[in-house]
Amino acid sequence: MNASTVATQEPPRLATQEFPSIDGVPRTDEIGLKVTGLNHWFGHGELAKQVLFDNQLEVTRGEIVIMTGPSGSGKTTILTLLGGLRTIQAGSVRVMGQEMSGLAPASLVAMRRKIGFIFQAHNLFPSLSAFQNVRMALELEDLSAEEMRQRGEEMLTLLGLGHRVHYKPAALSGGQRQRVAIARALVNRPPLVLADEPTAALDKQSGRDVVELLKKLSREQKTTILMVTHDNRILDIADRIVNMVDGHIISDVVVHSTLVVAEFLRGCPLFRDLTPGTLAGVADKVSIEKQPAGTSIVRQGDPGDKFYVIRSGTAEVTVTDAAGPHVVAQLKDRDFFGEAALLTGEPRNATVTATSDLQIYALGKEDFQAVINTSATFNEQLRKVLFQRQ
Amino acid sequence: MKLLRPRTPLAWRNLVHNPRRLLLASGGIGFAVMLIFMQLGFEGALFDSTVLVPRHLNADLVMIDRAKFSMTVNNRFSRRMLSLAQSCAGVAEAHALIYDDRFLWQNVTTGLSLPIRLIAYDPLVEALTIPGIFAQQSKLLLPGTVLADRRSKSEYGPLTTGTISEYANQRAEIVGNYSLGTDFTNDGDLISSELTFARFTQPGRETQALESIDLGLVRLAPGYTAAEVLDRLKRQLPEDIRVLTKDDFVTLEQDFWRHSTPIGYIFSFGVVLGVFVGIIICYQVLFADISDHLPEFATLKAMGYRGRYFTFVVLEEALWLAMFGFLPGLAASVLLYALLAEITSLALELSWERAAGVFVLTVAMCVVSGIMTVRKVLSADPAELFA
Repeated sequence: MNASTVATQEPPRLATQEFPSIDGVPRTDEIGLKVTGLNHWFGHGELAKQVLFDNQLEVTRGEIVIMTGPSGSGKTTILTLLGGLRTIQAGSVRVMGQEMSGLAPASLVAMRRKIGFIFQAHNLFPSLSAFQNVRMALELEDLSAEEMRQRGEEMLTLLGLGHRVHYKPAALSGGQRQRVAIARALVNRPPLVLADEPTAALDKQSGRDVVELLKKLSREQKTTILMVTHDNRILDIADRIVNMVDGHIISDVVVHSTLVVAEFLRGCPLFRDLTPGTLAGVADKVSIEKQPAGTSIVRQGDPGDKFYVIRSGTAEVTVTDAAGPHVVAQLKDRDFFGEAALLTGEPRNATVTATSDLQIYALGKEDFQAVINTSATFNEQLRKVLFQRQ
Repeated sequence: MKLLRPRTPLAWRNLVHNPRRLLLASGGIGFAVMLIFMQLGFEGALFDSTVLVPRHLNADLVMIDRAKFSMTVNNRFSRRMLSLAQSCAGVAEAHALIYDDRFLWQNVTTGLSLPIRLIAYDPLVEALTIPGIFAQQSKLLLPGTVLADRRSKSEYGPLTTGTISEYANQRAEIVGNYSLGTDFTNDGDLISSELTFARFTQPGRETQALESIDLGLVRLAPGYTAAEVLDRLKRQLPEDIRVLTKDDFVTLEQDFWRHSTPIGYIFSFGVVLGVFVGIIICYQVLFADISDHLPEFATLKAMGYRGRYFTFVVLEEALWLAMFGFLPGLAASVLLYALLAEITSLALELSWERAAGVFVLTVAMCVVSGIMTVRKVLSADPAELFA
C-alpha cells in the first residue's frame, strides 16, 4: 500500500478538529496509544523476575502495529498490560489519552469495554449462535434489542457472515468462527484492538481474509490495532513493525510509506510541532523525486509551483544579482526550500542545484496552501523562517 | 447494563447445549431429591405410626400420670381421678382407656405365640374414632371377645372374625375387625372391653386390675373452651395427674420418638446425606460446565463483564438444575410412595408441605453448589488467554 491508495480510500483531510478532545489537549487525540517507561516483573520479592524493561511505544490513531519476537520476549505481557488485563507495575500506558496505570479495578473494567480483544482461539460460546455471541458484546452497551440486532447483523454482514448469522460455531468453518470473534471484538467500534495471533488457527486464505478485514475496518473506523503474530504472510498489512527481544523493544520500524514520510518529516525542525494528523496529511500528498548531482531543481525567476524537503543528499542555493551568481547557502537532508515563492506569490528568488544525488519530497502548491491554512503554527513557523532568510 | 434490557440467556443456553450432561445432571439431582423424599417419607410414616392411637382418641383433653412421658411407658393412675374430673364444670364425659402389650397371642396356624397389644375401654363409649369400630363394640360385651386390627403383622396368623385362639393363655375369640396399623413397638393390636382386659391380664384380681388406668379421655361440655377446662382440671386434680389437649398429647408422643430415640437422627442423617449427594452432583455438573467454557468466560471478562455477572450466570444455572432435578425426583417419589405404601402398609404421604420443603432444600442445595462454583469462574484470568 502506498500513499496514493490511502488517499483514494480516505479523501484528503487534514482536520484535527474531527476528533473531539478527551482531556483538553488536542494533540493526544491523534495518539492511539502511548507507552512510557513500561517495566514489568513476574513473581514477588526475591523471586521477582523482570520481563519488561523500560519500553516506549507511541502509536498513532488508526495505525496497524505488528509485534514480533521470539516467544517469551514479553509481547503478550505488553498486550495484557495495554488491555488492562494486568495491573501496571511501573511506567505509563495511555490508551486514547486515558492513563491506565493506577486505575481502580472498576475503572479498568470500564476501560476494557473500549478495547476489542481477539485471541488465538475464537473463544465463542458453542451454545450461542454467531449473532448471540456478538450480542454478548453489544449487551455491555446501553442498546435496545432492535439496535443490537441491527448492529450485530451489520457487523457480521461486513465480515461476510450475513448468511450465517444464526449458525452456531459448530456449523461454521475455522475462518468463519474467527470472523465471528472479530465481529464480537469490533461491534462496539473500539478505538483500540489487541489481537494475539489471530490467524494462527487459520489456513492461508482464511488468515489473509481475516487480516484484510481487520485492515479495512481499521481504515474505516480509525481503529488502532496492535497485533502479535509470527505469521510472516500478514506482515505486509502493518504500518509499523515492533520487534521485541528479552523484554526490550529492539526495533520500531515504520513500514508504511505515508508513515515513513511522516516519521521523516517529524524529524525536521519545521514540522516538529505539527499534529500527527496534519503530518500524515502532508505525508499523504508529497511525491518523492530523485535528482542526480548537478541538476537545478528550482531556477531563479521561475514561477513557484512546489515546496521541497531534502530526504537525502546535499544542494546549494545560488542567487544571481547585479554582482553575478554567488552561493548563499548549503542544504542537507531535512532542510527545505521553495517556500518563499509559494508564500509570497513572487517568482523564485534563488536557484537550488543538487551537489550530490538528491532525494527530495515535493509538495504541490495547492496542497502546500492547504496545510498552511490548516495549521496556524506551521504557517507562523514558515513565515518566521522566511523572514530570517531575507 | 440495565437489568430490564433483553439479555442473552447464557446460563440456559449453556445448560441445554449439552443434553447428555443435562440428562445426567437431572438424573443425579433427581436421585438426591428422591433420596430426601424417601427419608422424609419413612420418617413421617414412622412418626405418624407412633401416634396412631393418640390421633384416634375421641377426646378433647387427655389425662395421664405425670411420670408417663410416652405411650410406651407403663405408668397408670387411679380410676377415681375420672370421677374427680367429671365433677369439674365444663367436662361432659371422662372415660378410661387401658392397654397392655406384654401378653402373647397364639398364631392359630403355627401355634407360636407373640406379644400383641390389647387396648380396652367401655364398649358403650366411642373412645376411638377408627371408622366402623363403634358399631362392632357391642359384640365385646361378651367376655373373652376381641376386635382385631386387620393391619397387624402377618406373624399373628389369621385374625379374621370367628378366629378362636389364645390370648395370655386364655381362650379369645375375634368378633370383628378394624384398621389401625402398626408402629415401632407394636406389631399388632386387639381391642376388648375392660372386663375382658382384666380377666386376661390379671385373672382372679379383676377389680384391682381395673383400679388403675392409662389414659383419661375427657370430652368438653358445649360452650366451654379447652383452655379454661384444662386450667380448671389442673387445679382440681392432684399434682401427679397431667392434663393435656389431644394435640399436645400427640406432640408429646412424637417428640419422644423424635428426640429421645435415635430414630429421628437416623432419618435426619439420611436427609443430610441426600442433600450432600445433591450438592456434589450439582457441583460436578456446574464445575464441568464452567470449566469447559473457562476461556469463553475469560473472554467476557476481558470484554468488560464484571464479576457480578458471572455470579448471576452460575446461580441461574444452579437454579435451572434445581428445577431439572426436582421435577423428575418428585415424579419418581410419587410413584415410589405409592409402591411402598402398598408393600409396607406404612402411611407414606406426599403432602404439599413436604414437596415445597424438599423443593426449597433442592434450591438451597444447588445454590450452595453454585456458590462453590462461582470461585472457579471468577478465577478465569483473561490475561491467560494471550497464550
